Amino acid sequence: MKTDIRKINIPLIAGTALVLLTAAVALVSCFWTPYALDDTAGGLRLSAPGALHWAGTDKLGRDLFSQLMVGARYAILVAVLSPLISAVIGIPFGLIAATGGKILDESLSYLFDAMIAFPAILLAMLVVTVQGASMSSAILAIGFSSSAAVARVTRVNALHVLATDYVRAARASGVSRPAVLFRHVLPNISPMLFVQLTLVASGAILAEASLSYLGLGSPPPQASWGRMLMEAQSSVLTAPWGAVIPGCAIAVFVLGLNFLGDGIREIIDPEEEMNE
Amino acid sequence: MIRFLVRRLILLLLSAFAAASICFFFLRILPGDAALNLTGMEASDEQIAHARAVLGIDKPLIVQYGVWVSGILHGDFGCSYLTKLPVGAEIVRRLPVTLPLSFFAFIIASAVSVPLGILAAVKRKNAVGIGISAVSAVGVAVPSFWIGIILVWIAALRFRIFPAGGFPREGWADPVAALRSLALPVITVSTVMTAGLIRYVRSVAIDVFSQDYIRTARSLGYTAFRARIRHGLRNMAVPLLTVLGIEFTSSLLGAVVIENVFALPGLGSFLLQGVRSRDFPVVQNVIFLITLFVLVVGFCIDVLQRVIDPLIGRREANDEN
Repeated sequence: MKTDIRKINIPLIAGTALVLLTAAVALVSCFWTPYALDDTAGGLRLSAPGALHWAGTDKLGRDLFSQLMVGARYAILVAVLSPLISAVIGIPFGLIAATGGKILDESLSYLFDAMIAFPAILLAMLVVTVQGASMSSAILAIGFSSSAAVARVTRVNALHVLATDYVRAARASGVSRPAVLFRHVLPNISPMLFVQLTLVASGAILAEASLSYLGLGSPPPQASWGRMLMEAQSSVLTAPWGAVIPGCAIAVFVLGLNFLGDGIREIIDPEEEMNE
Repeated sequence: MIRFLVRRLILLLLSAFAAASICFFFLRILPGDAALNLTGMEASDEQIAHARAVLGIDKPLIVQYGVWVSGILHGDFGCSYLTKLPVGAEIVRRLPVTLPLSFFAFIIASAVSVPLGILAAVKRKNAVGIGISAVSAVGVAVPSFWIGIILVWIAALRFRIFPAGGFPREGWADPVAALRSLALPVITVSTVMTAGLIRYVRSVAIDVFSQDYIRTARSLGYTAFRARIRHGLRNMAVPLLTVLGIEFTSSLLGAVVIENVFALPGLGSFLLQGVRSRDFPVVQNVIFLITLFVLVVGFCIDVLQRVIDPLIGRREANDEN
């Protein structure tokens, strides 16, 4: 791919920077946080951000910056595991639809459409009703219900690649179907899949935040940005930073993932950019 | 057209049936016992058996499923495990909160985002367009309930312009109070939707405005503005309709979450209450109704698309041959 110095891929750089920032904070939180999560020893309740507590404290006097850092860890977990689950389910089904003949293709396509109509957050609520609130319920439900969109993207792009001359040539020269899928189709559709998976990741972050905010996400010993917002809401007038800062953390990470997707799309499809 | 309608209608019914099955069986195949949840861990075997018989969950799953589905077809949604009150009546009681909320949010979001999205496309190279794009990029990255919390802080608690939450006891008998209490929730839901819609409208508009027929119209002496209005808007109708339909359903979904920020007694808070108390009939009925709504809107969009652009059908027929 030829690189043009005049055209710098700003979304890709910005997206990578924001995602790396979140990942770095999450990584540091595994070894060090300014305070322990349950440390209320300072006794400073709802104190404003300052030298002692960089993001202030909550109504029990716990350090918000430490909670934010640990929250990043769980956000990264959601942003990795949900897309992973959706890929593990979605990609095989998408490939089956693309190669399995007309009837299988049509019925699977209807299935994907029907599943896309079933919102992730509602599926998560079904799971939580039975299993109780937990991070794994949320991740599983979100990953499962995003798999239909991944399957659809896989199918469309795989059909496209399967119709190209080089795949036909490979098939004609005796390369088996699985080999074609692994050697030609998957590598060629992986950029598009990656774009879709960044969308799944950012959607998963927002959905998990909503669930945690509603009290249906990770239970208390774990820190989650969504639950921080729930806890901060009742004291938003006296301690607005408690509600403002976690929201910004979510926005930074989601914005980073969206930019990353945009940036990759720009690389795949420079034509579209030329129209712009 | 008739053939398409019949096929699409059958698909709608099948999908509705599938959605009902997901709602029902997802709750039952996962480990967990409703009777045990209600009676508590210390209950004796007889108590649990009694609770199961009262709830009707001592029968085989498939029978329970049949009872539920045939109940829905007769307009009977069953009773809450917890309150023993009919779920259908409670849903009807709460619709006057949820439906206006999502409807107003949808109207505002559409009215704001279509012109702004087109403006962002036309002015995409200067500050106005870039500004609109940047704001909408941030708008889709923040959680909707966060905007709600910030609005409560500024508009309700700080400046006391609107109530921070709740809904008047008299409901719509006091329309001013009802509208006032819906104001912030409507702004919240519509803000997030607007951000997403602007991005979509912008990309559709860029696509349409770069087509040859716009250039042709320009060469025939149309001004850029008239060419875009006369030929551009028409060609944007179908993609816009599709996305507006999707947004209509997402406004309902947004309302479900946002109701809980503002303590509104709507479908969303009913659902959350059901999820928390593991009240299966409440959860399965509310989720089924929301999904049914999504499916029906999808059906209407598909039909409308055919009416607006009969070529879609012909193109698909060609694909099949």
